[in-house]
Amino acid sequence: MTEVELSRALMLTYAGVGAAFVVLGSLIVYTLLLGGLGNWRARRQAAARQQQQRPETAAATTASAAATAAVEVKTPAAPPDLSPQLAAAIAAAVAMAQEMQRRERAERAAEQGESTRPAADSSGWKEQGRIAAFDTRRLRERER
Amino acid sequence: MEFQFLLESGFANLSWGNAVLFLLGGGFILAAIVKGMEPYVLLPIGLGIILGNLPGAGLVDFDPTGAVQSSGIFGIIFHYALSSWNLLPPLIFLGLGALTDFGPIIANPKTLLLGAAAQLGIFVAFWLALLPGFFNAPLFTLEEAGAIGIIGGADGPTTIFAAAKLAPDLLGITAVVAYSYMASVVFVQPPLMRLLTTRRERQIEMKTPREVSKAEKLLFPAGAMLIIILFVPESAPLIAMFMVGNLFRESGVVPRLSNAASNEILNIATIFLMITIGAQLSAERVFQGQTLAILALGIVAFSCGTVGGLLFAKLLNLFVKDKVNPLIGSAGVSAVPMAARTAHNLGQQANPGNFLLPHAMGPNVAGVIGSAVVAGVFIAILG
Repeated sequence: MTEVELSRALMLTYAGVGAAFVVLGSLIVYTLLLGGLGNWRARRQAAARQQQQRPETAAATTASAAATAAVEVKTPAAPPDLSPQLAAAIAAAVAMAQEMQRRERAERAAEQGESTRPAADSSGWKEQGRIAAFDTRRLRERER
Repeated sequence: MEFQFLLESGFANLSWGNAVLFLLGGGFILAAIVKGMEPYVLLPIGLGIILGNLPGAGLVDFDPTGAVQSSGIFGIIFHYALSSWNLLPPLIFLGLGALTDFGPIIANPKTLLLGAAAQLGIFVAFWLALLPGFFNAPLFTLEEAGAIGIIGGADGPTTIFAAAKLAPDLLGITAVVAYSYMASVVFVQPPLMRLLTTRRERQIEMKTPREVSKAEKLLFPAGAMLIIILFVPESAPLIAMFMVGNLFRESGVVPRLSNAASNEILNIATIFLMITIGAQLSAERVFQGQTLAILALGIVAFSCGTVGGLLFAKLLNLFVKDKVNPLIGSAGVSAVPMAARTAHNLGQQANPGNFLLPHAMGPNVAGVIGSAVVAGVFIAILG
């Protein structure tokens, strides 16, 4: 093998290895840039969506806060200088909140009935059924 | 005189070399049909080997003077579609591009490096082919060594593309060796993969790749095509067709073109390419010291490529937070998708919950790009 051939072979090796890593390395950089652009676009879209949703959420939060306040103060009388429309809106919100509170309490009571044994002196057929169901469930749990 | 035709018959001219190659061709056909081993490759190549060794048939003859009916069908296809115009490899790359999903690469770009590392086999085989020259007994020229080295990329069309430009005389044998080793990935790679990785490494579960947007899938082939061709213009016929095929697929607006590229064009090109390549394996060519050396160098190249990818994946694990299963490094030797499937199967053997296929497709496709780039460099310097 001549020296010229040897130097060409060496150059070929350096150029080949170098080209493979440089080209594929450049593709990595390009791909990361593409990924970065994709993420940036996704973040921008999410931010735009959030901005769009914010006024709606704010309005809902205000109504809910007003209702809670009204429940907490046990429905105080409307101040004399309040406009009739606003007073009506507050009254509706308070009624809605009271109704929700009532339903919540009822649900909680039902749940409690399922996790604690109803009082033995309950005479209603519904209460007797709940007691029987409770005992059966507890038996099954013990067996398990 | 009346029996002269008997002396000119194929039977009278059959040599032991033809008989051995009939057996080889038959073995390829049996492996494809009975064992189901890469039937799209081995069946047409096996048929080509038998057809090319029929004495007196002249199917592989080529007469450059263009005399009427003096060239055989496979001689004409070989001359125009491979040796002279090198038409079939880019057409196959068009089809491969239309079948390729760059999603795994885009989701996990560091796997591109595994595709680069797996090109180690090319350079080992190249230098081994030149080795006898250091002892004043050169077996191959620099160009021939380059064509042999490309076998290590385990990419059939790239091997043909490079050999046609660097050493047309070796085109047939290098192509058959490349395709044969690609078909035997399931036998060649697993022992090396088991040897170089611990069970614990093979069990590594990789993070599910992130979802890739359509915009990324569209921009990647376009940008990659520009980057690669600007760096290595000689790889343009392969890379341009590969990326064009992929853009057909990812655009989603030309399903007929995408289907034509991945079905009709790819299938037609495969039929002509495989049979013609097989037909080039004539007895006179095969039973030479050079051919046997190419067979040996091919397996060395292929094994070194596998080792390069595996070891680089292990090296990568020293620096990255999300560990890479080293098995996917072996898929860097192109051989799409056989190498990726092998990595996946071995991963599942070690850990049934392991699903490496999408991860292995990254280095697998990177290997296709890497070998095309190296072939382009070889052609630029030696061609």
